[in-house]
Amino acid sequence: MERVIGIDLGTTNSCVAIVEDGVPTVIPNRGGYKTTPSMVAITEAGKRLVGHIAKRQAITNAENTVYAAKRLIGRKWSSPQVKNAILTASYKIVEGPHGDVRIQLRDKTYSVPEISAMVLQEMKLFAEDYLSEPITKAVITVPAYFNDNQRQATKDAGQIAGLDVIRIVNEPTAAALAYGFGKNVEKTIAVFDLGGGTFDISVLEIGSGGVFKVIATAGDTFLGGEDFDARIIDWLVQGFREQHNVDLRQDRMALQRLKDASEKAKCELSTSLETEINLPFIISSNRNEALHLQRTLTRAELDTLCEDLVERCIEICKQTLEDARLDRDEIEDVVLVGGMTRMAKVQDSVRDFFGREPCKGVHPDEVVALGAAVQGAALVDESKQMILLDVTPHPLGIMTFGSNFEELIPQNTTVPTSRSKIFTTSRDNQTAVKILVMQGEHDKATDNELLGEFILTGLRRAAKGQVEIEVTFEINSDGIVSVSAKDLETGQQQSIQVTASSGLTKEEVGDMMESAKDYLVERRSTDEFEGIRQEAEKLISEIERMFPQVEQIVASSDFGRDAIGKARGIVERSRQAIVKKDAAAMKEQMESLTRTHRMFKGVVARPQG
Amino acid sequence: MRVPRPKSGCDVKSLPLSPVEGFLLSRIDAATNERDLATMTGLSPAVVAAALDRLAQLGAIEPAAGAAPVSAPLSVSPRVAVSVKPPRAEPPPAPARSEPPTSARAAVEPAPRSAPVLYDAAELDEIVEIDDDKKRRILDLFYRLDDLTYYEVLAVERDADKKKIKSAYYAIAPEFHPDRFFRKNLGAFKPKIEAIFNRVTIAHDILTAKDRRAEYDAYLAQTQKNRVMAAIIEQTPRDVARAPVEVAIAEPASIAGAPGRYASEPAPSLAPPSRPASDRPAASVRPSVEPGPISAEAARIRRETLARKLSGTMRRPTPPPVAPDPAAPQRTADALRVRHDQAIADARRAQLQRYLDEGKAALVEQQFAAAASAYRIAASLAPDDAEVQARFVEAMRLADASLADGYLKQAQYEESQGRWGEAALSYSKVCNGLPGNAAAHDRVAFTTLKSSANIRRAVEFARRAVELEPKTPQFHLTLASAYQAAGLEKSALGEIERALELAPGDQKIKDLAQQVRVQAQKSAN
Repeated sequence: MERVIGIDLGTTNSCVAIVEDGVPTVIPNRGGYKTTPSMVAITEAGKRLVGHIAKRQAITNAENTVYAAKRLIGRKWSSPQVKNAILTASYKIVEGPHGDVRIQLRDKTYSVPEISAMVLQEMKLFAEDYLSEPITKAVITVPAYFNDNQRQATKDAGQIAGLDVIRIVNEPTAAALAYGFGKNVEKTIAVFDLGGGTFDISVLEIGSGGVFKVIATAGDTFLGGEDFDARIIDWLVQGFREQHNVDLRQDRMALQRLKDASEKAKCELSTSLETEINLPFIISSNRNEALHLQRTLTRAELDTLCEDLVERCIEICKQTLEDARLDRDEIEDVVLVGGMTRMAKVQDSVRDFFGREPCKGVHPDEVVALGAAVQGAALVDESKQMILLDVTPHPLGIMTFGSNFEELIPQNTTVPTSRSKIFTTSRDNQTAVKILVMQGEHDKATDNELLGEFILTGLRRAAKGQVEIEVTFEINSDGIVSVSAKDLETGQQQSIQVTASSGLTKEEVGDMMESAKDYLVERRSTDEFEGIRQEAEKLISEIERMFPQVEQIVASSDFGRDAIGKARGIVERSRQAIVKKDAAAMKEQMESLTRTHRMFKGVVARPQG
Repeated sequence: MRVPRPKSGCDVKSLPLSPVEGFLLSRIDAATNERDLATMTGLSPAVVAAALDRLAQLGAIEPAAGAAPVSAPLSVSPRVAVSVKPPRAEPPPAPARSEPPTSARAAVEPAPRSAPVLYDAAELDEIVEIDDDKKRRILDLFYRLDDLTYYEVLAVERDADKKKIKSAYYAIAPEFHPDRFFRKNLGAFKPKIEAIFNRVTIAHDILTAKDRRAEYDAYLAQTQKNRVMAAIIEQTPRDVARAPVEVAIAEPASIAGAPGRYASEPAPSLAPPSRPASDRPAASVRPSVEPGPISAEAARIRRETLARKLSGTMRRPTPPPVAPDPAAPQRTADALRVRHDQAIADARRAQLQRYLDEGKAALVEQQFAAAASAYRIAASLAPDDAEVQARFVEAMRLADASLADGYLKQAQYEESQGRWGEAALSYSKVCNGLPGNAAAHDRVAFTTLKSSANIRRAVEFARRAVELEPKTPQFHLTLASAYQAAGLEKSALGEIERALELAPGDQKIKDLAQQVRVQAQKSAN
């Protein structure tokens, strides 16, 4: 049986593991370290460097050394996160041909998956060295809160690296797998994963028989150790400016040294109460004097600098528990994952929030890779009795009339799954609808991520709201989303498999959405009022259609004229109720409407003469 | 789903039955399936399953396979016949059912060997990387999914708590999670496995959320109510036949508090109870109908008491019997016979009145099903009484209507949930109740089409709707869609044109007609 490696492709560090003789084990790199910096550099000679060696030369080759590429993967050039990264990164971020993000190293530009692939390739090599056999299959982890584009980009990176990525697993879920592996426990746990670039919180139930069911998951893909470092850098830069009136940000090399020093200081403050930051000859002054940076940072100062970041994490935890319909005391264990959870302030806040001491049994840097290896082994080895029931982290839906986002598959739905909803046309004589498949939690569709689109044509010409279209979303066990739309009357059907959006520009998306407006479908409202309104309108239009005929038949009698007058009154009152959107009044009128309608039909149907 | 059948030649009175088992046995008629038995008796499915297992072990029933025979024994109950036979010393060997009787009848357990196979055996032949047992299990479960409640899907009791539901889910979900078949060639089994997993997960999600569970329970209650009502209406005057069995129920109840104590021993050959418990209300009718055990004098007293109690018809009490003339034995015998016949006739009248009253009371309380049931018995007791017959017909009409109403609610919930197949079934039950209701037939056709199951059935129902109300354009349109689904484009066009004739001004139909014409043209080329 072919072996499957598990790779934790982290923002700052990556880790690879395998299940050996039933035991998940981390594979050390050539230097003997269990984690490898996720850094890639191109030397002056054009040589590619990955890992520790890239990190070591980063200061002298800052412009050609990439770190935290994960923060860019699967993102659009124009996203605020990328804009933010352009400001702080020491390497050059440029726009790609599809509005995607490219990184310029020396005279060549690389796509982000290409950079990640370099790291993955390195991890693959370590595994092959260690196991003395070729490896082609891998499970790669991503933050639970990654959207489909980011996941697909990660998969692409694996493919570029020559790996068959048999599954993408969420990092906190992987951590839970490693935590629960081999323990026959039934527990509800929370995994608090604060890594280099991302924050995730997942609540899981570990059931008997090796079932891991994710109840809820949430996070922030732009909240992690890098942000904590940035706070320290800001603090240093600002202090330096006040002291010397020199902006250190102008010098990429100085910035790289600051970054290094900040990360080191942060780590030191996990064990000590204060640390010295000492960067001699960091820059030359305007008068060509060498300037030195020397400051002391205390743990209390760091806590203040980063207070809001930690608070954001706790806020998300709160929301997740609500989504999971759980109380804090129902969480039986809290697992801390990611290097940032070593920070005392983070640990304290987690302890305060959950009201319990976090679990110390797992290694925060290795547990995710171990879990990925466990999942890989479980997939290919039938004798493994472990099964993972994961959820979709973001709502999936389509854009409807007025740029509204209409959800079909809610957040935290166990996959595989499928859901359908019926929509109607939004324009008279509309013969085509454009289905824009979107992912995200915003009500406004344009704030969400566009996953794909297709057009359903050949609709029957009819007044708006008359043509019914059933849209079905399906997520299979590989996490692939397929969407189909079906005209309920003609049975006409169109579908797509949503795969990675290669990164469209905001302008492109904007244009597309603009031109798509005529095609958009309107959500059939399910609320009571809407139901009655439609029924009432149908009755009114039919009654009105019959009016002349009925009038002709019954106008000869007083009784008939009286009835006609009454019917007019009823129709008028119903109309008003509809205009005023007065549900109660409309309900009142419905009975009269129905009666009138029946009566009219009776009169019309009766043989005349 | 088992459809148990009473075993002929078995003396039920000799069996060590618990009251529950006896009660259940009295409801077994070779037509009612296991679930309906549970519904009728108000027992939990697990209890019914356990009782059926034991009844089968004792040889009282045969868990018959497949659909019930058309001629379900109604009045020809074997129970009456066997009750006079000598008790058998040994119960026949138990049929092969090894499960412990206490286990809940889990949906996901393999269906009993004798259960009907719902899938085409050819589906098993598809070459995929799943072993045969698993294939069977998948197919079996997949085709029963729509028949199972969420509780049954998870194999939990109706009152199971959240924890039990969760652990049931954890037991079942892994088995049907697609990861168990990772990168296997699954062919047509893949969507089925995913459908099962999806349903199991929905069952878990709904039953573990308080509000959604309550909503679902309400729906189930409605379905149950419908089933109970259907069962009551279909009930026939069986109480006469049932009497001996109820006697059998009464007996063990008085001697054994623990029914289980007989479980491991061979059935002791109990003598039949010396006297039928004639004071039991349900049994009280029998002696007065069957000649013999009661003296004419007792019958007379009973008859008079009944007469007084009943109806208020000003009937004069029968004069006390004249002392027999010793000189004329023949006359005495004649008189006795007359008196005896009269006693029977009176008892019948009393019985009739009782059912009429029962029916009337039920009507007042709007218990239409019960009313129909009572009047049906009354009608069978007085086949020549036109008024009784008329009342029966009326009660049946009301019962059918109210039942149809219940099914309609059920169908609408199902339709709103997009469960087209189930909705189609429920709508068809509405049609059973209201055979003249065109709209209901139309809905059957519509939902059947949506479930894209049986197009022929959709066509049939749509046709019926059109037959019933040929002047409603909508019904023609549904029929047209059904024809279209069946590939009968010309017929479809014909129906649309008819609809157009009926509603000449309707733009929607005009458009549709145009579109279909174009399509027909295209396919003709």
